[in-house]
Amino acid sequence: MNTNDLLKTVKNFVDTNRRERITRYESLKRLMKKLKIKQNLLKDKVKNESNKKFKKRLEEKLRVIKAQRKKGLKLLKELKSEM
Amino acid sequence: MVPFTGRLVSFLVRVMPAQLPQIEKARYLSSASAEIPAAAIEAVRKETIRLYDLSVDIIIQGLSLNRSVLAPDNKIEDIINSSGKIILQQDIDDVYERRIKSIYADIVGFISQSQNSVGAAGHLDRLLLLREVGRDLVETIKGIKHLQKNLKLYTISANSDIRQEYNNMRIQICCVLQELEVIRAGDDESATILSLDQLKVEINEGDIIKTGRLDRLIREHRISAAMAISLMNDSAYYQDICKNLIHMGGILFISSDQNEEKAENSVALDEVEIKEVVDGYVEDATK
Repeated sequence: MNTNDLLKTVKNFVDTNRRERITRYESLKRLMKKLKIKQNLLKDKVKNESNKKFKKRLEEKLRVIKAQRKKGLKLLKELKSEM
Repeated sequence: MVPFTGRLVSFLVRVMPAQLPQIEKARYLSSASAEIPAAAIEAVRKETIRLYDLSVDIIIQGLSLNRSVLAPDNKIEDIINSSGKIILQQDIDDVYERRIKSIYADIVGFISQSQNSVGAAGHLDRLLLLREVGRDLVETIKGIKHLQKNLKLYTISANSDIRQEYNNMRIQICCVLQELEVIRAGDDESATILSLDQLKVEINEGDIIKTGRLDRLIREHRISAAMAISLMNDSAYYQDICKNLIHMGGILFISSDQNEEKAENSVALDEVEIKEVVDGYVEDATK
């Protein structure tokens, strides 16, 4: 480990706010991944669904997940710029 | 025979004692756990989950259904639309008094008692949130009681439009409960409190007044004015029931991991964002 790395580790250890932001960023990133998987699964289900009513319901679900991901990605960007 | 009446009475009282109503009591709340913050929260959470279970039984029976209808793979819409028979046998006031009120009172009492020992703000907030869950459940049961009267009348009505509207209310309430059960079970990793946003959208979209469905039914003389008034009132009850259940689920079944909980809360849609999703969908549908 060189001096820069060591300094970075010490900085992370001392700066509690930064540590909190990193934890928050990582949790959010994990959640975004989960939502992405869910979104892709739903896309496939929409493609294969023949019943109109169920298809409409799936499309609604997809729309909600897209809105959630949009919000989450915006937050991720903000957190990254703060770090 | 007359001289023996007194003896006969005392004999019969002894042989056939009057059955006292069975009143549910709290199982997990003890004065010992009230002293330790983490134990107090866990005890209240467990007791509130028990209260939720008892409440779901009342709600489901109030809708004239069995709890098995909430199995994850069931297509509730088909089940309710195909079940023509309505049996509303329970007196909700009586069941509420015997099974809910006493437990809720114990929870409220326990939280007040443990407020002194639970010093940290985070712990206290959690306890107060769990108390809100109890209130939501009580409000839901009261809503079901109000809904029951017309449900009994219109779900067997010869008028198919009013019958369908009341069945739609039953379907939506069951869908909310089914989703809550899936989140609670935790088997589906993708079902988190974020799934509740979808239900909020559905409830907004299903509003009979906002969507103009009620006006259309009246204009086309498909329902009478009396039916329209009942529908308007009951639609408000139904909306409150669903909102209370969703609010409750967001507190009770939230992830146990605090970081995950924070992340989910930060991504969950607020009312304005829900409205945007609904409006976006209506716009697309009309294109």
